[in-house]
Amino acid sequence: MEQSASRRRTPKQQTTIGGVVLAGVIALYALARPVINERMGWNLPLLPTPAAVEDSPREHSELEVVRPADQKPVGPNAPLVPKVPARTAAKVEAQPVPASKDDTSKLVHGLLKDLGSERYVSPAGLMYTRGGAEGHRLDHLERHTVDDPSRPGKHGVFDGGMEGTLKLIDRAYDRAKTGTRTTKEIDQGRTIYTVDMGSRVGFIGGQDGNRQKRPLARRVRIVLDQNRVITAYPL
Amino acid sequence: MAKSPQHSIAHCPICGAGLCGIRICGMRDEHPHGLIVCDECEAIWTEPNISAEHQYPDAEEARCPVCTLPLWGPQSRWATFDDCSELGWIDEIDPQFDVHCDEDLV
Repeated sequence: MEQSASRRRTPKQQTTIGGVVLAGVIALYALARPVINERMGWNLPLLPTPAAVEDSPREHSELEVVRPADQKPVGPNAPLVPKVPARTAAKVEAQPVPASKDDTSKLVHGLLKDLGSERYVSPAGLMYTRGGAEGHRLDHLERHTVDDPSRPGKHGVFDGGMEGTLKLIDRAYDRAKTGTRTTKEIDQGRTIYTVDMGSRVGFIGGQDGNRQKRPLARRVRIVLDQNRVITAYPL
Repeated sequence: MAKSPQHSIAHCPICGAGLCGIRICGMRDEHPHGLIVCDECEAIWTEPNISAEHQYPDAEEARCPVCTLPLWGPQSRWATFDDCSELGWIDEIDPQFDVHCDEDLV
């Protein structure tokens, strides 16, 4: 009798055990999230912090949010695409979510630092500047976040919208610098990296890709002039 | 405003994904000239032969290697079929890369 009584849990003990289990699950999720995102190409949400919870309703209420009609959301926290031009949109979408005490509200697409004169630098050190037929490298890159089914040949399309794309390119550049599953060609000052990311990063669209039912892409090609991005696309 | 080539001669042999598009420059003077420009890596050929030597423009201030005016300036655009005819490059077009839209070219 005494033994069985000792096995019975008081409500306080049950709460404590439940709390420990919950904390364990949360810790496991926090540890597994980056690995799952890396392996599966997903974008699982961060665990909410009090600041993020407080700010999140404002983020969505201030934007007209659309998804490209031909782009399926990827993962449970697929990025939302504001219906404004790439660089303007980036500033708007980055404003409402300060991730820390740092002044992240000025970051473009959530990670690019504005250096002025339409020059932006990523955390990995890649520069996005004026140039190209579109007028700015970010505007060219944006074309690789949606399919162009009428484009002759292949057209690589990144998963994850602009922010996801920029983060992925940074990851690919980090791998490229260490030579991890990377081929590197140098031609007259241009460097062409082809980086195998090990999991899906997008798909092949364009006329050829659509004929082949949009095969998945797991490699990223980055064309650089020193650290300035000329173009990047999945293949 | 077309941001992609309307008529191309090949896939880019350098980056593999771009189109080697025909571009006309010098439209505002009496010396229009043609270029082949990759719409991804921006490799440029001054003749419609991608086996020839290529070059790259400045990453931020790209200029035509023939006339040195801005590569993406108002005197230049992705060539229409008529432009290709004017350049004498009709036979260089590979029709599989054609985009059938000759409106509002820039």
